[in-house]
Amino acid sequence: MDEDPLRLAAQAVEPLQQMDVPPALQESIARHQSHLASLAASLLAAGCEKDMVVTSVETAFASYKEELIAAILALKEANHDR
Amino acid sequence: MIADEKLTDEEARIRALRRYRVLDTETEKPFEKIVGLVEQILNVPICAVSLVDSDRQWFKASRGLEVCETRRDISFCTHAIQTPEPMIVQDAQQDPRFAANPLVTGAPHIRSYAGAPLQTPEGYNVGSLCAIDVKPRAFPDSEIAILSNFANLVVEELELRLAASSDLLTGVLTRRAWRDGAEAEISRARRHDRPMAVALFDIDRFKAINDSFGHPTGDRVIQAVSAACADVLRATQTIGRWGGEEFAILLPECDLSAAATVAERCRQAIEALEIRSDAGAPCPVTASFGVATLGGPGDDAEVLVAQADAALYRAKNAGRNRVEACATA
Repeated sequence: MDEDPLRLAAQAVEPLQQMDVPPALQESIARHQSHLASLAASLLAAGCEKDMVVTSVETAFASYKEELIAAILALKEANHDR
Repeated sequence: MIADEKLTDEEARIRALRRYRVLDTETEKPFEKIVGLVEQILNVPICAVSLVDSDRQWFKASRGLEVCETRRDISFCTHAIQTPEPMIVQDAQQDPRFAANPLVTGAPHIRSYAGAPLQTPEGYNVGSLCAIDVKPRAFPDSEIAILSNFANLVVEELELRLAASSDLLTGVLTRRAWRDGAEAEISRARRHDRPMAVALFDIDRFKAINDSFGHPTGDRVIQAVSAACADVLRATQTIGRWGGEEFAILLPECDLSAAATVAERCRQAIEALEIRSDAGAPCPVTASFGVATLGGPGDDAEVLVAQADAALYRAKNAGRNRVEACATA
């Protein structure tokens, strides 16, 4: 199993590659990916089991992804209102 | 390290917190999941996303707590937000700041505490992600790093929501976000039998501004007008872009007279703007306002805005650059 925190975070956010993300949210995604990488690194450094690291990163990303989809839809609706 | 002034500027801190419009909202999965992970990974009986309001701490998500808020003066998190780094209390009974605290001497019997500030990108600590134990405990650096990373994820969730509810040109609320806030405020006003009002305003002769000076200047006018109004509004009064050059302001605790006063202050702030076109030509700006208060039980945000719009129409017909009130709301 991969122990590189950067790669773990990148794998978690991979589903975003297929999304049409407005520029206003792209910075948020970059920050989130960076936070996930830091989280993975700190969990590994604390001696957490790799399964726990992967589960934590995936859980943290899953809820973010739901919010992100809601945000994308809200921004598209706002642009449509203009 | 964030500037000390950001740690002591309470008014700006509260403004930063309220900008997120998260206080008193329902339970939400992302925050629940984060406290669940903190509880599990740090093996603590209590943890919370605590947002420090002017006179209370309010928990957006928590584990092991039976209340959703406490007084601010007894909260540990009030201390945690005063430093840029996480705050650790290994044994509250041995700490003179907390030994007599009712949260230590009584339920939930806090004995040890670690709180990572929830720091906005601008540097304001709006709350903390805290892990609490009922026995003395040293939180090693590795656990504090984990807690801090989760705190960053909490802030990112808040920032994501903010981005989704912000108008791209002006940064004020989108129509949908403003309307959602207005509906919530209408419910609150009815529940507590309190007054509330809405102001709607429109930049006068905006088409002529665009035609004369070009769209980039028109965009700058819209930005300057919304910023000028936001500057004169209180933290609880929220402005949203209703569409094009039209804006709506939510005015909790305002009767018609108070609402008209706020609208007049905004009108004057807009009139005082000194905007120039790209070519340097002066571009005078004014706006017309209509205000309406919450009336019948069937009123919703759309009805209230329609009533304010009728008053705005009168302001336009009466010569523009003025405030008109809808007395029949």
